[in-house]
Amino acid sequence: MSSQALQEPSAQRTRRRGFWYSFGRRRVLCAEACATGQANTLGFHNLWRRLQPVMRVLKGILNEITDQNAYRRHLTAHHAEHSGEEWRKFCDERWKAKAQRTRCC
Amino acid sequence: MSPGTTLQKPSAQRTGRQGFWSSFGRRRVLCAGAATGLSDPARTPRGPVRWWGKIVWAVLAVGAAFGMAAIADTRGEPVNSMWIVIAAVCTYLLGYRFYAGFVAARVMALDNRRATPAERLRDGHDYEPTNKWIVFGHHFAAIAGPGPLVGPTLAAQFGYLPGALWIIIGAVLGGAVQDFVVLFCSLRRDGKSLGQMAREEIGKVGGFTALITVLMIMILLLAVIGLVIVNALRDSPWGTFTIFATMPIALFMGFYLRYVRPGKVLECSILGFALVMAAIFGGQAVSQSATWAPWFTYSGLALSGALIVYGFLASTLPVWMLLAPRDYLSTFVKLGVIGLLAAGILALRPQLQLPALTRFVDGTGPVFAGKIFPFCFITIACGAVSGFHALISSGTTPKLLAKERHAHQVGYGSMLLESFVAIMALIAAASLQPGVYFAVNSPAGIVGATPAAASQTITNWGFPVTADQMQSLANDAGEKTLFYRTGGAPSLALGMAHIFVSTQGARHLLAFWYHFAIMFEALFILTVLDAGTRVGRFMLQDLVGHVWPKGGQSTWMPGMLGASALIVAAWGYFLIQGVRDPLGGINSLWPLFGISNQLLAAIALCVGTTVLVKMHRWKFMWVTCVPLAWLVIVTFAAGWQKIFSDSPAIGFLAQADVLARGPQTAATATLIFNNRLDAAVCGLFLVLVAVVLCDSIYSWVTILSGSRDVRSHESAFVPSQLVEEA
Repeated sequence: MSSQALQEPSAQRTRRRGFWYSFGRRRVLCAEACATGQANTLGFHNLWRRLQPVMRVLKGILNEITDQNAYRRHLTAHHAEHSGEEWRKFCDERWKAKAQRTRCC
Repeated sequence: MSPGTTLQKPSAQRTGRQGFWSSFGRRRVLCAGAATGLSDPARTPRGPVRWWGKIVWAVLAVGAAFGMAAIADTRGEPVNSMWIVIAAVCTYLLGYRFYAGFVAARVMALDNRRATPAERLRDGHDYEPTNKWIVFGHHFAAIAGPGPLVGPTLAAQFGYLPGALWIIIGAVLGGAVQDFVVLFCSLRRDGKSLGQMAREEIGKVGGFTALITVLMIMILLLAVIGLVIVNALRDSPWGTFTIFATMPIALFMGFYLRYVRPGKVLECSILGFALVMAAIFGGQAVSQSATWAPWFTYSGLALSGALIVYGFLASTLPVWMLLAPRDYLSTFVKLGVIGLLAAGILALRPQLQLPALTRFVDGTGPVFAGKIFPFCFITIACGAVSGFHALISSGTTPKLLAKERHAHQVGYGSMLLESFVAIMALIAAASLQPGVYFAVNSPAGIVGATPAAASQTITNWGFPVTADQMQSLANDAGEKTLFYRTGGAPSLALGMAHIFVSTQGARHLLAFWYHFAIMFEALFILTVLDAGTRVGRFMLQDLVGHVWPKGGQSTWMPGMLGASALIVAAWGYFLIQGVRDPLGGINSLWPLFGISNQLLAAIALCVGTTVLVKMHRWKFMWVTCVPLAWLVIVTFAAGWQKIFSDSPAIGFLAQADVLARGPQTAATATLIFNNRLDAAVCGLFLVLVAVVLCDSIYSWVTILSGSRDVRSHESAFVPSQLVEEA
C-alpha cells in the first residue's frame, strides 16, 4: 500500500471506492498499527487480539467434544487422509471404546 | 502442547511466577531446589502484588461469610438468590485456592517434572497430552449428569438452606476432594480404573466388590432417571412428541454423519439442534390438535414400556446409529442450557420463595419421607459428592492430562463447577411459589387424588395454593395439569422457564421454555440411559466372561442380546415398580440411588486413603478420612432407616408389614415383594461397602503398624520432556 493512499481522508476514500474497500483498508491499517506498536489505540482490534486465546480454547473444546481433534490425531497416527471410509473406521474404533465407559449421573 | 516456559526454569523464578506453589509447596520446592542445586526460593523477593492478592482473598473470604450469613440468618422474608451465588462462588474460589492447593502441594505433592501417562504412553487414541482447558471441558461434560439438577430440586422440600449449605460445603471438602484424589491416584497408575486400583491397592475382595457395586448402582441409576422422564412425560402430548421426535432426529444425524457428510460433527449437531427446536414447536401443534394429541398421550406404564424397548434397541443397535449422534447433540444442549440458566439467574437475580427451612425437616415431607439427617445429604448426592465421578476421574481424564498439576484444575475445579450447577438448580426450584413447588412434586397418595383436595392439603401445610392457580399455570405451560408431577424434572423445568421468561419479560413464552427445559432434561437423561444400558451390558458380559468365555465376547450376538435383555429387564423392573408405587416411586428409588451413589464415593475414598497411606502421607489421611467418615455415617444411617424404620413412609419392611396386614390382592402382593426387594438391595449395598471398608481399614492398620509390606502400584518416575504451557 502506498503511503499516499493511507493519508487519504477515509470519507473521501469510502465515497470513491465504496464501503467494502474501506472495510478492507481498516484491516490493513490495523495490521500496520500492530506492526508499528500503535495497536493500543485501536480498541476493537486490541480486544479481538485479547479474545483470541479464549476463542482458541473454546474452539479446542468444541473440536474435542465433536471428536475433531481425536480424528486429526487418528489421521496423523495412521498417515491417512480424510475420507468417508477413514471417518467410519475412526468412528467405529472411537465409539467402541467410548461406549464401554461408565456415564455419570 | 504450545511452546512456552520450560520446566527447567530456576526454582526461584518459578516461585516468583507461581506464588501459590511457593507458599504451600515450599517444602517440596525447597527439596527440588536442593536436589538440582538451584537457588533458595525462600529468598525470592516479594513484590507489592502479593499484598493485593491477599486483599482480594480477604475480600472473597468476607464475601463468603456475608453470603453464608445472609442465607442462614434471614427468616420470614424472601432472600435474593444472589446471596447464595455469592456464598457459593466465594467459597469455591477460596476452597480451590487454599484447600485444594494444600492438597495438591502437601498431600499429593503433584510434580510437573514427572511424565504423565498421556506423555509416557502416548498412542494418539486414548493417551494424548491435551490442553488443560480442553481436558477441563471434556471432564466437566462427562461428569455433569441429571443428578445435580434433580437432587437439589427434590431436597428443596426441606427449604433452600440445608441444600445450599451441603452443596457448597460438601463439594469443597468432600466431592471435589474425592474427584481430585482419585484422578491423582489414577494419574500415578497409568490411568487405571477405580476397580483395578481397588483390586491392586486394597485387595481382590475390594476390587470385586467395587465391580458388583458399580453394576448395581448403574441399574438403580437407570431406573430412577427413567422414572424422572416417565413422570415428566405422563399425559403430556407436547413433551412426549418432542422426545419421540428426538429419536428419528438422532437416527437421521447418525446416517448423515456416516454417509452424507462424514466427519462434520458440528454441522450435523447444529442441524440436529434446529430439528429438535422444530420438534418443540411441532409438539405445541400436536398438543392442540384433537386428532394428534391422543396419539401422544400415554400413561406412566405405557411410557415405561416404550423406554424399556428404547433402552434395548439403544444397547443393541450400532453405536454410530443412535448413541453417538445423541451424545454429540446432548453435550451441546447440556452446556448451552447450563450457560443459559447461569446467565438467566445472574440477569434476573430471582427472590427465593421457599423458606430457609420448611416444616418437613421433621421427616414428614411429601416429596420423599425422612428427616433432614440423613436424607437431605442422600438426596442431593451428585451436587455435592458423587461416587460416579470417580469412574470418570479414573477412566478417560488421566489419560489426557499433560502435566500432573493440571489435575488440580481438572479434578477439583470441575466438581466445583458441577456443584455450581446444583446451586443453580436449587435456585430455580426455590424461586417457585412454595405451594406450586409442593403441588407439582407431591404424589396423589399423600396430598389427595383431586386437585381441590391436593390444594387444600398443601394450603393446610402453610403453603397456600389453589386449584385455579395451578390450572392457570398449567395452561400457560401448555399442559393439562401440573399436579402430581413427581420426580423433580417438571418443577425444575417450571423454575427454569420462570427464570427465562422473566429475563425476557415475555410470559407468553412460558409454554415454550417449559417444554424446552423438559426436552433438555429428557435428552440429557436418555443419553445417560442408552449409554448406561450399553455399559451395563458390557459389565455383565465381562462378569459372565470369567465363568463362560463365550458369553463374555461382546461381538457374539446371542450373548449381546441376552446381556442387553437382562440389564434392561433389571432396570425396567425397578422402573415399573416406581411407576406403580402409590407414593410416587421417587420416595423409594431416589434414596436408594442416593445411598448407592454415596457408597461408591466411600469406596473411592477408601482407595484414595489407602494410596495416601502407601505414599507415607498418613498424617494427611484426614483429608480423605473426614469425608469418608461422614459418608459412612450418613449412608449407613440412611440405609438402616430405609430398611428398619418403624415409619411405613420411610422403612421398606415397615411398609411391607402394613401392606401385609391389609386386604390381599395381586397388586398388594407385588408391592410387598417390591418393598422387601428394595430392603434386600439396600442391605446388600451396605454389606458390600462394609466389606470394602473393613478390608481398607485392615490394610491401613497393618501398613501403619509395620506388619505388612507396603506394595504400592505407582508407576516409576520418568522425567517429563513436555514443555509447560504459557
